[in-house]
Amino acid sequence: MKKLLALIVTVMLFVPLLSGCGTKTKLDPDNPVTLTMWHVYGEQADSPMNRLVEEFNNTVGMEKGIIIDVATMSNSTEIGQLLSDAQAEKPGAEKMPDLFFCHTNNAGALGAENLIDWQDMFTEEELDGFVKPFVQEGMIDDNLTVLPVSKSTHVLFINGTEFKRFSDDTGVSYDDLETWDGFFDAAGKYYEWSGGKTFCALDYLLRCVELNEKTSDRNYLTEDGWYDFDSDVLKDSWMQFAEALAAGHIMVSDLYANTQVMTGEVAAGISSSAAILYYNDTVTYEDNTSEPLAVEILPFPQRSSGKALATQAGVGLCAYKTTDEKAEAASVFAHWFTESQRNLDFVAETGYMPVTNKAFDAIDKYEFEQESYQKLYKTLQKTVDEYTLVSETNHTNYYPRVYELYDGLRQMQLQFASEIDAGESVDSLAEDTWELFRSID
Amino acid sequence: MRRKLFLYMLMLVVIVIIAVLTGLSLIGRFNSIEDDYYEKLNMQIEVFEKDIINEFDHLAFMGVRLSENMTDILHKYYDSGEARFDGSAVSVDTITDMQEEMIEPIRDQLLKTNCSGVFVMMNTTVENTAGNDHDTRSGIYLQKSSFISCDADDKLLLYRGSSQVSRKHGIMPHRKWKLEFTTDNFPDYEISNSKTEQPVYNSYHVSNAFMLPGTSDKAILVTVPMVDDEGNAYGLCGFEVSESYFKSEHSQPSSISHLTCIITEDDRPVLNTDIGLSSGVENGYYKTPDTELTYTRAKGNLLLFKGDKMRSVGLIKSVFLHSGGAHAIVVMTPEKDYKSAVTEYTIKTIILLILLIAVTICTAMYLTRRFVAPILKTLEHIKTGDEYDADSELQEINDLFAFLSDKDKKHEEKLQALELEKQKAEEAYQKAQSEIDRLAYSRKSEIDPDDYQYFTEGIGMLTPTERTVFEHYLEGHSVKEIMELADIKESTLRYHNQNIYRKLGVNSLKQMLRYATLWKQENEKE
Repeated sequence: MKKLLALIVTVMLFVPLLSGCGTKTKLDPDNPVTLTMWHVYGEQADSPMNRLVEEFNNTVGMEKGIIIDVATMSNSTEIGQLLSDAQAEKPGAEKMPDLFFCHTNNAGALGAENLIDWQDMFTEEELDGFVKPFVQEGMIDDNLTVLPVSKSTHVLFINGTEFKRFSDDTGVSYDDLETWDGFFDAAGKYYEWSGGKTFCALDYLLRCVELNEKTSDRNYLTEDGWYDFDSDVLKDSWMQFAEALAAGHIMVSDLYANTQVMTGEVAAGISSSAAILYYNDTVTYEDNTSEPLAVEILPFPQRSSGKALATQAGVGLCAYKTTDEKAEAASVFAHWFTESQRNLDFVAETGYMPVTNKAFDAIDKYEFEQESYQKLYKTLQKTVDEYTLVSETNHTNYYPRVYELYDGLRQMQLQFASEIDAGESVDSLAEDTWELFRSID
Repeated sequence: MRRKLFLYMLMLVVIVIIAVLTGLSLIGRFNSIEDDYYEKLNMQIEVFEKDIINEFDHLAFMGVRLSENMTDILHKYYDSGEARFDGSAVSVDTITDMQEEMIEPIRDQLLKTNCSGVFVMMNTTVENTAGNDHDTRSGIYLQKSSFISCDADDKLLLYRGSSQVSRKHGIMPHRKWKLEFTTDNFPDYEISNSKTEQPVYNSYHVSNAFMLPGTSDKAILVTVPMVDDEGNAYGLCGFEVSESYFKSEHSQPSSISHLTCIITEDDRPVLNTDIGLSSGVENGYYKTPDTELTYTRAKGNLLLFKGDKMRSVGLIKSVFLHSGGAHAIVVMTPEKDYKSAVTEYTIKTIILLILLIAVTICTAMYLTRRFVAPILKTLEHIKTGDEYDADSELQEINDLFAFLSDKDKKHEEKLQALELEKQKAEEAYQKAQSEIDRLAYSRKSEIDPDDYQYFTEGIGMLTPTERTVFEHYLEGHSVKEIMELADIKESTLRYHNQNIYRKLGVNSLKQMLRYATLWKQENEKE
């Protein structure tokens, strides 16, 4: 009798427990886990990332019990700020997402200990399949917190229709834009030719200044994450841009260079290669006339001596540490997303460089649907082959100061034309910009 | 006994189960999963309905105000003859002036309104020198790039309109900016240039969702015509509710972890979610519904919604957001979840029943073991044993046995006394019999055999009445008793006595009884 009772009680107690045994995964297709995602791919536009997430949700996600919900699409700067606000639980801030794409410096600000180390999720062999410098860029201390999924570089986008008119009249060609000297010369000529229109809007002026330095490859950043203003080389480089800025030949973009090209305000823009996603086929002027944009994409202008330098930019995938179930789901998504063919298809739609060696090798033979994308990847290939790619700094204090500088320059450039009309010299105005730069600490 | 006990215990099991189940039902813990889901989804659809009605009421109210404000501005240009608002082209300068005047009030309205964007589409187009043939309309379309209210002011984008004007006001162009509205797919464009006598507050309309050109976001517009007091139409204005805004601001608080809420055109029996918007729950769950959903009745009041890739249970309701027709709102949760809940419920119920049965059986077995078994054991012992065993496990049995034992003892003593008495009586009887035999023998020798012979023969000659009287005498009754028993008078008895004496040859009652005793003894021996 006692044995029978003991058996009944034991069975009743252990049946529910036993049902959970025998499976290693924490994922349950019948009770899917939702991962919120913030990304930067296709903000304000048709997003290839959203389509990919939809595909994941309807295939692997459904099979394994994972739903990715794209909660926010924005640019990397804003996502960096939103993440910081969310982590600090500021009033009105969004809830911290499970997956997000950000720069390494943003990840560092969040704390590597709060983020999943992808080395725990990928085997060594799998990580060897990634382009090595891209992986290194995502390391914080010994943790791989930012998984490379796509990388961009800066390129020169040009309104082909407008440039043709300019070229026909002045003889300036695309070849002239290969170097910074040629670029500034062309910008001055365009200003004259167009009756005072700015030639090019720059999204990342400081990056241009850094990579234009003429005599040395050394880094100008101090340990504090800001510039060494005692460097003559830095000032020389800055002044070259500052003079063009003061003269109205170039400008710091209002928000994005691509919108200024599309509105006919400028003829060219130096932006991330990913800006290709945002270019319309046409440029529309204020008087409601429009014409084909015929976008031309050239490599980042080269410095006059030494090997050409280009930026290696782009956000990577981070996963916020919460539960084991979510960590496993994040790993499933990361593996799926970085499979070579999928990585190639994704970057080919978004204007980025792939991150796996296989995808990189395959891009040569990739058939692009649009001519503009074909042009972009030809340029990217040339950049990879002929340039040295240099990563951006990861210092946490760097970007807030950069944005402060850009805001100051935007205010200043509104006055340059009237100040020159009032008798101010370009050199003096350029010197003012240097002082503004120095004043930020 | 055992069979009867088993039946009683079975009855106990059944009664306990019925009592527990009834109790659970009464306190509502035993509702079916259908009822439970219906209750939750019904509450959810009511919350969602209220949310939707509030949102679109608010947008209609703000839209009417926007229409009035914009009409006031545009009326001046109409009056001055600078613009006719009949679709004809207007100079760049005039359009720029109009937009310059409109942009700040539009920005204010956008910031005050719960929406993702605002638009004012005028029934004009910018005159272009190149003579491009544009089927477009000028105006301003602003969007919020962030839905966090504190950030809204510096997160506005110009989706349509003059970028020169917007830049002056610190509003940057959208990534997919265009100067003018394309009229092809713009909702309610046809009413933007038609005269109307209806008051503006009766003319607003809630469009179906459509893809915002160049983006992967779709939106519903609340459109309000801009009409002056004379019925002249200036265009169309209103607010945008984009899918990303709807998802972000209308995710529902819910105890249902996987919930999808949809608003779309009420075109039953097929619902096209492509022309509607959807949201998930506040815990972060959101799953885009399939484009086409059909539905059938599932269990109880629940409906089963079927798409290409999804099957969900939920509810549907009609809401009237404008005079143009009904919208359908749907709340639903995956059928898989519902089925899991049913399975879990069934398993739990079975476990509960098994538990109840097991507990009751165990209780019955325990009771049997503790109380009934000792009684049976004792009874068995009584059957086989000689005396009561006062060492039972039950005090009551021990007491009973003590009582019975005491009673037995008294009975024994009484029996022994009776036995002794009986023995004495038998001995007295034996003694008396011997005396009778001795007396009979001595009398027989004193009696004349001829007289006795005459006596025995005389008995046969007695009449029945005489015989009865004779028997009474033999039984030892007195004269008085015989008179009562035979119901005769003394004289009659005397008469019978004389006849009896004569026939038996005796002279007295004493002689007759002596002969009779001998005769009786002889008869008994024979």
